[in-house]
Amino acid sequence: MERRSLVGALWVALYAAVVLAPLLALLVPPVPRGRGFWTDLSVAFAYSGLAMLVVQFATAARFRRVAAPYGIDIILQFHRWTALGATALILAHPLILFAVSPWTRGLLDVLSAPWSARAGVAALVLLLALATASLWRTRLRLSYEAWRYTHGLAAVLVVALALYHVVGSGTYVHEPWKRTTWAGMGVAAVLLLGWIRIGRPALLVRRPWRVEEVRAERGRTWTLRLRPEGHAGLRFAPGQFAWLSLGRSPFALREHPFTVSSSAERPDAVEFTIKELGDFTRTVKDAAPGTFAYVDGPYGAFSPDRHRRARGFVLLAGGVGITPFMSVLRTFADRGERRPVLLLYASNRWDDVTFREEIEALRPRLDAKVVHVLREPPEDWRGERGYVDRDLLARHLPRDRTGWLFLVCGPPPMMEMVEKALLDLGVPLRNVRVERFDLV
Amino acid sequence: MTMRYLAMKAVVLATMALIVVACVVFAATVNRL
Repeated sequence: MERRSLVGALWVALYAAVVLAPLLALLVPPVPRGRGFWTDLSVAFAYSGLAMLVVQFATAARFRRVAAPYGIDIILQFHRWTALGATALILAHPLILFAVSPWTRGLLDVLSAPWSARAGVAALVLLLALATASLWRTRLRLSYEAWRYTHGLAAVLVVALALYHVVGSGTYVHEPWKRTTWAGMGVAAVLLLGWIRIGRPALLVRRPWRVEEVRAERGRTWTLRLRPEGHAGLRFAPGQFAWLSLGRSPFALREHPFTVSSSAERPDAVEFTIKELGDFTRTVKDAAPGTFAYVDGPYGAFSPDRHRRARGFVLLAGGVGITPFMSVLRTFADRGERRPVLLLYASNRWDDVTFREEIEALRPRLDAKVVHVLREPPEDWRGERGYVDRDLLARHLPRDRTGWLFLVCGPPPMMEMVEKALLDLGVPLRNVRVERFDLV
Repeated sequence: MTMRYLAMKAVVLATMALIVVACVVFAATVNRL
């Protein structure tokens, strides 16, 4: 087994062990007396769900060592899916109780219910609100900043209320050490959130950057060039990204993930290329030279450097999805890379093709073929038009593509279409890597 | 969905299944079933 896979499997095993530990601890003698199979099953679900919620703070903490085997995008997706699993387990707790012990429905009456039951109900309502806001943030028109402010705070409240409910209800936690175990998990959650919101930003304060230049690119896109202030800069692999915040302090929650677009061989200055899409991205062009910036990174597994044995690379970009590939092309040119590269680059209009001149200029320094695909081509356009579909790929992919790596980055509908087309053309799934923008 | 996403989802599903089994074992054990 590859070392990376082994380390990845160990982290998964550790996750399962931590989540199951509180439940197993309850089975340490004196084993509590049962209160009926279904009642105990509902309590076990709630305990496991709560343990999972505590570990959610760890999967959100961007620990680079944990993220290394998978890429932080996978960790955040894992965070999302396990949150849903935990919510389902916790929701099952009252539903089972209401079914097998109808008297427990009376605990929903917040006026007469004991405080521990009120805390349990409040925790559940808050948890459902948290999940709803995260799953449908854009549909609810919740800004990223508002969501981030409330997400961490609500998560701590859910865990605190749930722990109060556990200790107040007293089920299976009569022994002090069992109570201490749960209290310890609560403390762990708070410490992890403290690391996310205070510890990590405090480390970033010691590594400030300054905006050197803001450059307009084609297609309502801006490149931000940053210079390190008193440190060596950022060591990254082409295709990786970082969380960027602009302004006086890294403690502000206005930090957003952006792909580095500059060459990995020039860590003394980094560039982020950002398209005007949301509130924050619209303000990027107004960043004055000299503005402080903080860079938390690098993160991500979307990089040709993780595939040293690849015989060639097919880069499939849609719109601003070109940014990781600019870093790849610039890095390859700086390295004198001789492996073949095919760039298929889909855009709406020719005038909006970000970096088209520079890509042309880089071509002689690489063994690269570039195919532009336009959705709204000019009248005299003789190149490819429409979508990157199966036929288009069949026309341009190399005949012998054994051992080639396919990297896809663009809007989700394009990525889905491209992935399906590649599978249709017999490209093994293990040779395809996609980069998603919608982390949250 | 690429291999990494499929693998991640498989891990989540396997972990959830493990947790549910552990919960059933717990409820059965404390009720001496």
